[in-house]
Amino acid sequence: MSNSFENIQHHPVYPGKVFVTQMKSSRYHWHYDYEILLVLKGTLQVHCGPDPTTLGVGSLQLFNSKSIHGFKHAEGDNLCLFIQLAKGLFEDAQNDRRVLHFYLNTASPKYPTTLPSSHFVRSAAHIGLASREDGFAAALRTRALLHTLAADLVSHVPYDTRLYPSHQQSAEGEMTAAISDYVDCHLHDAGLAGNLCKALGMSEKTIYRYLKTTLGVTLKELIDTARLERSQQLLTDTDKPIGLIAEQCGFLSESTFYRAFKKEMGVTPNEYRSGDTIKAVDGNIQGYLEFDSTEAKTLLQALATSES
Amino acid sequence: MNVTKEARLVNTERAKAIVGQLTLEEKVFLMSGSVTWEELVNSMAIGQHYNYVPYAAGGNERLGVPSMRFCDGPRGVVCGDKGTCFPVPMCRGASFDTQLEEEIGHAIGREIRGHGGNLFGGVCINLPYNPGWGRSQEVYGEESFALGQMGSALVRGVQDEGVIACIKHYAFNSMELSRFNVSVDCDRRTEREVYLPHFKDCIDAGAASVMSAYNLYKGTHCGHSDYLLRKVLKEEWGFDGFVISDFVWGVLDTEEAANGGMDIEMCHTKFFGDKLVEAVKAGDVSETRIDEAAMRIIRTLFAFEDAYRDSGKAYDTSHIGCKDHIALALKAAQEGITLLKNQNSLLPLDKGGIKKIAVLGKLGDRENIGDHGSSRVYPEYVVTPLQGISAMLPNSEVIYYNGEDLEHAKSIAGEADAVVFVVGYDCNDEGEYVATNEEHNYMANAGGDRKSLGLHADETALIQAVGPVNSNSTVVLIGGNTILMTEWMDCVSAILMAYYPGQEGGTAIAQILFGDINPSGKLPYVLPYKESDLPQVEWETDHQFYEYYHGYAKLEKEGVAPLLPYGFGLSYTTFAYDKASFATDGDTVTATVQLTNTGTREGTEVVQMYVGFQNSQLDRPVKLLRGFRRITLAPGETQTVSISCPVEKLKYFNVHTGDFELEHMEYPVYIGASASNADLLTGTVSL
Repeated sequence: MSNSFENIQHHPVYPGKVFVTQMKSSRYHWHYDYEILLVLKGTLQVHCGPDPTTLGVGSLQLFNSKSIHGFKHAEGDNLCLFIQLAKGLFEDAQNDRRVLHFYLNTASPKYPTTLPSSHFVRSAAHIGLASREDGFAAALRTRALLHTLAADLVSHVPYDTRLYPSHQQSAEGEMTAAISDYVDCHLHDAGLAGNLCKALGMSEKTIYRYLKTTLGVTLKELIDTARLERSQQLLTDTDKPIGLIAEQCGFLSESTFYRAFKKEMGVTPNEYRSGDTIKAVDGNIQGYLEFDSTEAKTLLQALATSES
Repeated sequence: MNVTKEARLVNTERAKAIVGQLTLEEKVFLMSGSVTWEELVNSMAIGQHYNYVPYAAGGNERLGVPSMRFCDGPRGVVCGDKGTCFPVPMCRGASFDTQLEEEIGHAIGREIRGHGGNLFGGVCINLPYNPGWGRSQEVYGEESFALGQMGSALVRGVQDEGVIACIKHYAFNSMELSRFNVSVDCDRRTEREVYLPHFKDCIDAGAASVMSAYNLYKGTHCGHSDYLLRKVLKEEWGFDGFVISDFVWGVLDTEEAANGGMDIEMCHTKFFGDKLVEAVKAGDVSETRIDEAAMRIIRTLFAFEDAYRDSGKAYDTSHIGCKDHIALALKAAQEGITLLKNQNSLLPLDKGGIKKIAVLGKLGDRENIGDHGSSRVYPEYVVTPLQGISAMLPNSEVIYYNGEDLEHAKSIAGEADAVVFVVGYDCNDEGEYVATNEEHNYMANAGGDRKSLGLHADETALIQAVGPVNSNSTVVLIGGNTILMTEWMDCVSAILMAYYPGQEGGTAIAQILFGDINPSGKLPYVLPYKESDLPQVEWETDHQFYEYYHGYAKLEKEGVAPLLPYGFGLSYTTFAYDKASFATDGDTVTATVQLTNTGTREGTEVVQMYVGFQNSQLDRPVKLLRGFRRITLAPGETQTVSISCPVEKLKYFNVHTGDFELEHMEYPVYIGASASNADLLTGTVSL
């Protein structure tokens, strides 16, 4: 399975996975599950489709099954609820090739839902709360709420139905995944952009079009982001010298790396390395970080009872 | 087992002998539907549906008289929950395939026997005065001659399986919202030349039962009408079978109905039964009338039950919804679906060339097999257009969107190699109607007559906005009758009328879109530019006059050009007509033509014959359809095609003599591809 694919382990009782995390950034990735993101605190920049959006507190966005998406760190701390819904929730045995593709983003409601968007925010918060309770009853309740949410989505959120050839996901999505995977594996290559075109046998123009449609970024932005992310990971997880990290991430010189890092992160690589204690909690989850759990509960309760 | 009228009449004396042994109560019991109101309502409450089992009437164990056991249609057999759902008759009418219709009749007959029934109440042949009639999906089109031909074929097929065919709704039942209280009126020639001939054709084809209509004719309920039931049907036409009432509200008065000639009150007894016994005892209804009804019922049931038993056939439930019947349903859809536009030969689409196809419109993924009235069939599965298309394209991406947001629809259409809009009607827009808050209710509150003959405003907007985005755009229309296209037809390259194409409709639509099947259906109605070209009807009224002219005959008489003529339909091949000749032997008129497939693939043409009445001294149509034949030809193949019509069918009704009479004059005769003169070769015959 490719690098950008995320394998999600579902809860033993309910068909999905629910968790709250501080989201720093994630690489571009996809999974079979549908994913609902609800921002509980702070902001998060989301790349999915041609128009990147910044989500604030109480904003909710749905990522479709197999759709490539990524998150970028924004100013300050944040806290996000993720609900990953098994694809099977939306399948019916008679039409097993079908994938429902929803349009739900409360921060940028391109298509109106027939229930107020606050309904989905409350539903998501309730699922977040239920999933945090211990015991079999809580797990059953989470299962029930997930099914209700699935029904609400189909009833009240615009969607189209997609039937893909059995051997592929959407052509664009697959191509973007290939591009993202190549970039991740060749960050050290200073001539990465040119070599990528050769390796994938595609013109720069084609690659540009694919990335703009699926993620709303240019190839340069994609590569820069990937390099910065890798450098952050190496800074926090290893003791490698900064010069080596700059080289391994494909920066032309240590000073280029310093300038780019400072510009994007607001701190130098050294400051980042010494001051940052955040560690990734789970290798399976792309960039999801630890947080204070009582704070999460308070924020969820506030959104679960919010009016709009 | 051809249960002809002659075969039935053989049983007359035997039936009379039985009648002689029956008490008055027993005779009246034969005339009474046995379903209680509670059974009718409760069956629906326990998850079953209307007519889940055959509805019985009469029977007499003591003397071995079988009960009559009614099964509704015509989309298939309504009983049970896995019956074959054929395309609605309007789609079958578009096939102009009487042989296929007869085969469908056989399949329906077998399924009815499989349910234990012995009567098919689904030969619906009312002529739609205006195509907005909500139940016009249940009939074969606007043309009396075609209604008669197709209805007769269904009668033959059903009865050949030992099942009684019941033709309905006799007569003038072409309005839905007002069906319980509208009184229809028309002049005598309209009655005899336009609204009754197809009923007579089916009687002549041997139909052994007739169902009366709810509406009134000239102020009298059709179920009470001595004129319609006794004088015309039983006396003039020599009908030997029995008349049943339309259900629950078809008989409204004991004496009037019984004396009018009604033989069985269906499907439960309100005015017959004890009340009829009392009326006889009081002398208000003669016992002779009761004897006549009982004799007709017994004679008919004996003939059919004997024929079925003697045939050795014993159809069981394995025939219900079986593979062969479903294959027939598919064939009917393949033959009926009509190609109305195909600019630059967009269709058939190239399976291999389509990497991504967009299906747009609310009906794209709907199991849409017609209305939810008494003709609703409950098949085991229905193939939606989306399912049909995606099964056709296992290696392509298919995107379906209901089309609500025009910008999103545009973006999907822009990315796709081809776009298919699926638009039109469903059970909420048209169909049998019973309001929930009225006493007249045993079904659901939906359907009725159409508010407009056009598409819904949002569908028109969708096609207008999104059609031009992709030049490979096709509209698939779903509906029971005329759908106007004037507003949007220029926005797409191809248009396919699919009617309600039955449980395999989605398969047939895809097969035609992608060329596995070459379309051969022809419009069984005229398609005008605008609604006002057609007769106007007040749908909610207690009185409606039917004029002599409707449909293509009206437009032609008034010199109004249609958007598409009656009988129009395109093919993926082309046909040439040549060397037409016309002759008569005094009894029949024959048109002969050489038909050549001038295209590159096999195709089927519906060759049509029309007869003109321009030389008449009377007010008569310019021309009328008087024959048709389906001819299949290989590329380059030529065949000589002859179509004949009895001179009887050229007569007019003389209101002074009360007879059909022939005008002695020169008759233009036409043969060709549609009702448009541009598609016809012409000559004359003198009679």
